[in-house]
Amino acid sequence: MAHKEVIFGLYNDEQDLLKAVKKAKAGHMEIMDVFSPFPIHGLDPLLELEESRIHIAGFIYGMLGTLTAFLSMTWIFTKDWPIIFGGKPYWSVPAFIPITFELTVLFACVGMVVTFYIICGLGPGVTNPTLDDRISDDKFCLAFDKAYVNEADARALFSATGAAEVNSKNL
Amino acid sequence: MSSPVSLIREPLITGNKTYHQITEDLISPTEKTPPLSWMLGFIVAVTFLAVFVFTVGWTIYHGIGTWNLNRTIGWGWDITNFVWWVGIGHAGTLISAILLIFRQKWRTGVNRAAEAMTIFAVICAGQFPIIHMGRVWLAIFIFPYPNTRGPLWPNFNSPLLWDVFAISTYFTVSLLFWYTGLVPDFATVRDRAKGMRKKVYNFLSFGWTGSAKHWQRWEALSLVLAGLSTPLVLSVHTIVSFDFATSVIPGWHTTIFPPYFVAGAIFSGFAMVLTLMLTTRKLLKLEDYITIEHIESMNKVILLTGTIVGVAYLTELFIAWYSGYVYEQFAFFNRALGPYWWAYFGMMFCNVVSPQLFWKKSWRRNIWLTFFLSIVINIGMWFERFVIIATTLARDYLPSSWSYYSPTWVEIGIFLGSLGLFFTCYLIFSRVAPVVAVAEIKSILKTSGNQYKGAAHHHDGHQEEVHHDHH
Amino acid sequence: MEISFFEPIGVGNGLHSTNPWLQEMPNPVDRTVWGNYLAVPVKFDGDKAFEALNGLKDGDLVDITIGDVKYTVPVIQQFGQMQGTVALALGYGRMEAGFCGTNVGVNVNACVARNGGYPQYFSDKVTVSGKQGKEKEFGCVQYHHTYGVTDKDKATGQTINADEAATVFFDYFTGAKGFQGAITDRSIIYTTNLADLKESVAEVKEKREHAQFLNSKQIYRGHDALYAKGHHWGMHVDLNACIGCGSCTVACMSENNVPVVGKREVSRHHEMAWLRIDRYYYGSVENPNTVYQPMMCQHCDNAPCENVCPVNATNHSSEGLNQMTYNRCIGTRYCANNCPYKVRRFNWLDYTTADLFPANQIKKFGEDIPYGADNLTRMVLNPDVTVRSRGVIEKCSFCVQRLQEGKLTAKNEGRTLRDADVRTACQTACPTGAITFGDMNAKDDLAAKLESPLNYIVLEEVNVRSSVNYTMKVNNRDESLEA
Repeated sequence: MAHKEVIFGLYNDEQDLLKAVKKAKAGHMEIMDVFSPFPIHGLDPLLELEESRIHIAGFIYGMLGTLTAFLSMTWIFTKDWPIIFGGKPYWSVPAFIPITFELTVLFACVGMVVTFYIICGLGPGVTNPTLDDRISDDKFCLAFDKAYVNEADARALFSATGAAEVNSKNL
Repeated sequence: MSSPVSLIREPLITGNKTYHQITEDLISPTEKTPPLSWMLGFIVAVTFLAVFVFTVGWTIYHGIGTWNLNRTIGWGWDITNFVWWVGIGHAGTLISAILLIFRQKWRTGVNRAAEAMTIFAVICAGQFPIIHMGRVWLAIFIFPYPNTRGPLWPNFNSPLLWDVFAISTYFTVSLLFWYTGLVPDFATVRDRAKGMRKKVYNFLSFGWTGSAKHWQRWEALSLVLAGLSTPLVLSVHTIVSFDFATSVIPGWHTTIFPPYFVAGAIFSGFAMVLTLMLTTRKLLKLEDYITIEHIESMNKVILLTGTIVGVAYLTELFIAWYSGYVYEQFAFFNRALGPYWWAYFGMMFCNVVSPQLFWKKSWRRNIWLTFFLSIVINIGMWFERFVIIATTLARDYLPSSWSYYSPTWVEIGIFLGSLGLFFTCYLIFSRVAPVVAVAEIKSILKTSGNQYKGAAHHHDGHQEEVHHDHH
Repeated sequence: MEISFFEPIGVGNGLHSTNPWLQEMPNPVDRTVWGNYLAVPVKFDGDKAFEALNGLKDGDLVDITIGDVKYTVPVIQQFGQMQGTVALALGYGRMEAGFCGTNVGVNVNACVARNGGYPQYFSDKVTVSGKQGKEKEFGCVQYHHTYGVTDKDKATGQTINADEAATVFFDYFTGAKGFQGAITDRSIIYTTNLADLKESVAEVKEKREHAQFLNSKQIYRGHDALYAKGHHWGMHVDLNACIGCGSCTVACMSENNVPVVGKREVSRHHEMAWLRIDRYYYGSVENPNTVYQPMMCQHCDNAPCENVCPVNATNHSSEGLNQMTYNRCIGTRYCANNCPYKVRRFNWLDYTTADLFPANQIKKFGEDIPYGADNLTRMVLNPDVTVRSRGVIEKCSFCVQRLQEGKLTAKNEGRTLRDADVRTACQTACPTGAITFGDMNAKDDLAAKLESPLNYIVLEEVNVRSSVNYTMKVNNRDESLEA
């Protein structure tokens, strides 16, 4: 990770944070990130975050599962080794439905979760530096990168919006 | 914060909590030395787990002949336990997935523990199809893997193979769903921890930071996983019911089985959630998070699903009579009045009669009655599976083969042992991870906390202001 | 009270008690094995229960005093036995009869009195106690003995089906009885009297046509075109010819290396016989008729067992055989559960000393090699047939090894196969020719048998398309004379 000097304000209430974000956006200050102990509703549009496309990925993974399951079973029972079971035809489609469904769900879920962790840069053994330990408890954090935002502007914003604390940290 | 504060609904979080207080209350059990009650419970659970290991080992070493199954009754306690455990697991997914889709806020108090219950119940369930095999050491044959025998594949027509796919998918998806929910909470534990614990929880929390984009994706992922888990949970018990429904044995060959099994699964699962949550909330002092409101909501689900199950039992009897098919008629006649009448009676009493007490509001809100009935219902649902499996096989087509079955100490030991396995897992979980979803509780504090309920008017105004500015 | 002594068909006067096959061959009359059981008379209480002598149930232990000697024996209820009599087999209780026969049952030979040098196979100096306990190992292979025996209902005075009335165990204090037709409406056994033959044939025809009509309503078309080519193996069993002697069951065990499991295992319903003879009583409770039904794998063309095996261990051959692949079987027992005929057998324990684990192997006579694994005992095995290990399912294969041999014989002689080339073990052993095996596609021995209008298929409406035909049992008894 590139070296970053970060200035950040900690808020006690998510509503104060939302106001601060709005103000920063209005002042065209580039917000590095917002950290919170739980998802804040109404924040995403303020930050102009695009809607996540993870469900589209999930759909594609799911279809992959459907095709894998159905085509594999079809190939195995009609081409690779056709065997008679209980008088059913070799290509006994109704009997393939349960496994096809299960693999659809399995592929979609596993694919999405793995995608989620990869695109978020998370995973077993990953250590991401955090700005403050209380962010996962009760503090709501608005962070600016000093490379893009004037420190004085940031401090002014924080004091104007009622930040409980203002700190700097090198990441 | 987008949903309005309802004045009608009772608060789901009591005790004037702040965000920090929530963290303290829910994280601290993972940080303290376990109390004596936990220690004693753990010793008992591990003892039963040892019984499980011993009896399973005994079975594998000596053979399935150490059970009392016979040439007529090929499945008994083993598959009964399997279906019972799978059914119990379903409530966790129902709470976390279906209630998430329906935006039921009361799920946040219980979803974490219920999902954990799902995972441990599925682990217990998964033991039985494996240990009931005559040749466990060849269990790998059930997987479709390339081999030098042709290659020889498994039989994709077999409901038992569908089970393999259904249960393993269910377990995987539940685990991923549960763990993804746990990651932010593990981060909270990490940020409070020191030394070795910090390292461990740092590993478990996957480097979670609480970034806005992560939260956004996390929510999107949770919602889609919930959307996929909903049909999945329905499919799993449907497929389990196919083990019976697709057979030719009268009493098994029944099209009502899929919905009936699913309703029964939710029914027994909620009963187990109540058993666990009533104990947990007492021992971990979580009365402010798992309120009487939660208990009443779950009792309503129990009343509904119990009644659905009751209707299914009666429908079965009616259809058997209406079918005009002597085998079917006799199968159901035999269930109710045959040699296993006591199991049928137990099933009817525990599953259909006992939940009707919950029509009365004060009884729905009575903790002791709820706890007692939650155990009665689980006994009843065990009986249901036993009735379906053993009584059906005991007297099927040819009277010459009719038989009777009662378990040996080995089978009883495996069942009791599986309870040990379950509770060992659950007790470890209750000390390692927050049993209530911390982040999710915080996110509903301002709509469902008792102090905000009182200040609703003020709070609503605040909301509108924010929204107005945004537009 | 009078007791009757008899030599059972299996061990005779005790001469054959060293032979495990004969010890484990169920007695054709009471279906017991490994020992002698006191047969006690049964009557219907006129409501919904059968009552045996002194209220005894199957497997109760009683004290019986014959002359001055007291014996403790288990009882079995015997339909059709005259009230006031009991019966006990001779030939058991030998004290020196090897590993198999020693101390099996009770020796009552001494009770057979002599009158002028002639043995008297009865005694009237006999008293039977009430229940003294429960036999731990009650070796009986059939618990339900009747197929709709009838008697008078004491409330209405009408003749009802006592067997069906007695299927209730608990009536919730409603007085409910089993419903009429619960057993006799099943298409398992068809019986008739010679006088009613025409009507019965018409009735069976109608029932079969209805079943076939229902069976035609299926989504799958099956593999009929495939089965019409080449061989399609089938069997015919004539219930009129079968005398229930049990020769076929022993022949099958000997041919197919079917293990003998012993009294304890039989008492737990773990008997392994691929071919069993179901014996049912029908007609009046006091004076019933008997029908024997040899029951083996029906090699169904729509076999329910094949669909449910998760690992593909059982499937269908193009010649209509339901095949078992023992070394693929993992022992889920799903196939056995889903078999309507309950003919699949599971190796519950290590019955063949072929186990991975030594746990189940019995060292006998101070030898290092487990009993059954020594060279001498192994000589009993048929080298053409796999010995199955613990944890796998097995069942009748239509003697597939004999089919293979017959095909090779025909090929060597450069001709097509005849039914005479392939005879199953049970068929060769049957003293009355009740069993005919052959190719259903060939115009041969079997085809001739299959044309009889008395033929039916057991459980035809289940649509499993069994390959075994049975013949309706016809007797020529004038029941009106005996009432």
